[in-house]
Amino acid sequence: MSGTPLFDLEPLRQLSGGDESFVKHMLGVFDKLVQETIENFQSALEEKDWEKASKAAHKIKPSLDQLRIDSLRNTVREIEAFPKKDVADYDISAKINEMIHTLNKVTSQLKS
Amino acid sequence: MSDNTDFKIFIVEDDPWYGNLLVHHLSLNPDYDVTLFTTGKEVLKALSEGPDLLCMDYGLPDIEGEKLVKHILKVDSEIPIIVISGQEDISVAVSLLKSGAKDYIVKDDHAKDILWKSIINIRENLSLKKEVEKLQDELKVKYDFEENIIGQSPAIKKTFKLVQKAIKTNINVSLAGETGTGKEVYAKAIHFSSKRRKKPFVAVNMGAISKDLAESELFGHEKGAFTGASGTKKGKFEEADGGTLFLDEIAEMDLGLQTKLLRVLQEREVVRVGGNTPIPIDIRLISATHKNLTEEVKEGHFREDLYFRIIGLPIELPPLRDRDNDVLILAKHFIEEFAKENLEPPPTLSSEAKKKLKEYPFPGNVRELKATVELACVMSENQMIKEEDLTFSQISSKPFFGMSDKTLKEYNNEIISYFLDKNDGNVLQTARKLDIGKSTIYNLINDGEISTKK
Repeated sequence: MSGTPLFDLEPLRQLSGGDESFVKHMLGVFDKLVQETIENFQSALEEKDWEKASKAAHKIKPSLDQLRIDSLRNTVREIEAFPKKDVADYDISAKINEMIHTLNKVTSQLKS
Repeated sequence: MSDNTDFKIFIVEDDPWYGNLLVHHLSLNPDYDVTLFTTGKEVLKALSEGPDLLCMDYGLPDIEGEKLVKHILKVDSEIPIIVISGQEDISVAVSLLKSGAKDYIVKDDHAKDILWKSIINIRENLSLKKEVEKLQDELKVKYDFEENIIGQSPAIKKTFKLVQKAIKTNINVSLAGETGTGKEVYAKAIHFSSKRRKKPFVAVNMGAISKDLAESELFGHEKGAFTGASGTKKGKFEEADGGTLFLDEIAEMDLGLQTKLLRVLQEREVVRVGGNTPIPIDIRLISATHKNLTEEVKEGHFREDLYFRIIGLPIELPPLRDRDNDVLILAKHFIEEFAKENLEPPPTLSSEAKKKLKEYPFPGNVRELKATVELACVMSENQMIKEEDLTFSQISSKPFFGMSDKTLKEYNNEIISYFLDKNDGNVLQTARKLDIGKSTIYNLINDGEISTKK
């Protein structure tokens, strides 16, 4: 694994009740979800469709919390809330790119 | 609801991560049969499978959360729905709960534990609801109209027709009849055969509650409304909401309370004593009295406007003496009921006993007949109720001079005997009361035509 882990599998393991196959299954689900989210984020950036980005953020949020990916805790919420904001007080494109980068890093750590 | 022992849970969640987590978590309970759906349309198609509980995400891709709740409840209004959502907006939760969702859980670290507890609570409520429904079904059988109101006479059959009309509609019903004619039995039979049977039947005897307490008893009170009102209390109207309120002996209600009752019936809302907030109520009122209400109105004891408000469908319950052969049908019924309760074979009535029952006027009506027959069952031997086993109550032996064919002379003698007994055998007092000569009475006694018990 390269660098400090960005996630913590302990909450998922606790939830599994010792069922390691369930943990593996859920990590497979997470991997697919990450790929889908990255694709959605990329097309949202191209189309400047922040509603699409918000929906993708909303969908992946519970898994990020569950895997304790704390570095994305605020970012995912900022992307999710962005379309409802009257005044854009942060650069949403930068936040989305930050998320794509971190998600890629997480999946690569999980695979190693 | 599914019939098998498993508790069938449908999860609707488009997020595969969260959906899989929920399925795994809930499947830890072996009683739960959990199925995952990813769209609203899929779950709507599967509702015919009869899930016991539905747990759905608010933000589904195809149908908006609140719309889906309404769609599901339209198909099955009884199904409990728990909404789980990443939306932390309280107004969304309030709106969903108003739409009929049973619980709203925010997707956070505690969500799975809260969901677990919520399902346990819902199961407990469902189990209690089932128990209540079972008891209500038992009550329906217990107070079933056809099971409880027995008789073949034209007088009683006339009331059957009216009761059938009362059952089909929501009209107020007023029951009139002598004491013991079965006014409460009728009221219960109407309630438990009507659409309101799953809601409460609340009976209040206006003759049995003090004037001071009557208002609070009927309309409830707020804390501190009067000395001793240590807490808020619902009144009988609120208790009966959705069901039937039976006001027995309504003629005993004092005029002040009648005014308040009229307002409640007109406005269909009640204000607790000491309170300001009107509480909407939905009740069917069944009232009863042994008095002649029109006479009470004429004499100024009962408000005319209230009379017209409560009278609705009037049903006059005939006294037992006007019910021909019903006395024997009822006697047989009570004998069988008594024997069943005491696990004994039912005794039969001798022909002399039948004759005695038919000749007696039963001023206490069906209630008196039941008591008489039960005592006779106890007194009888060799499974035969004889004439001497039937003892009529001294309390209810009030004057009644129209029960059988007699000559005028026989009626005269009966009347004189009655007043003679009432005056402890005092001939002078009796003669004064009846405005006849004392020698008339002495002559009748001497001739053996009348006798005195004193």
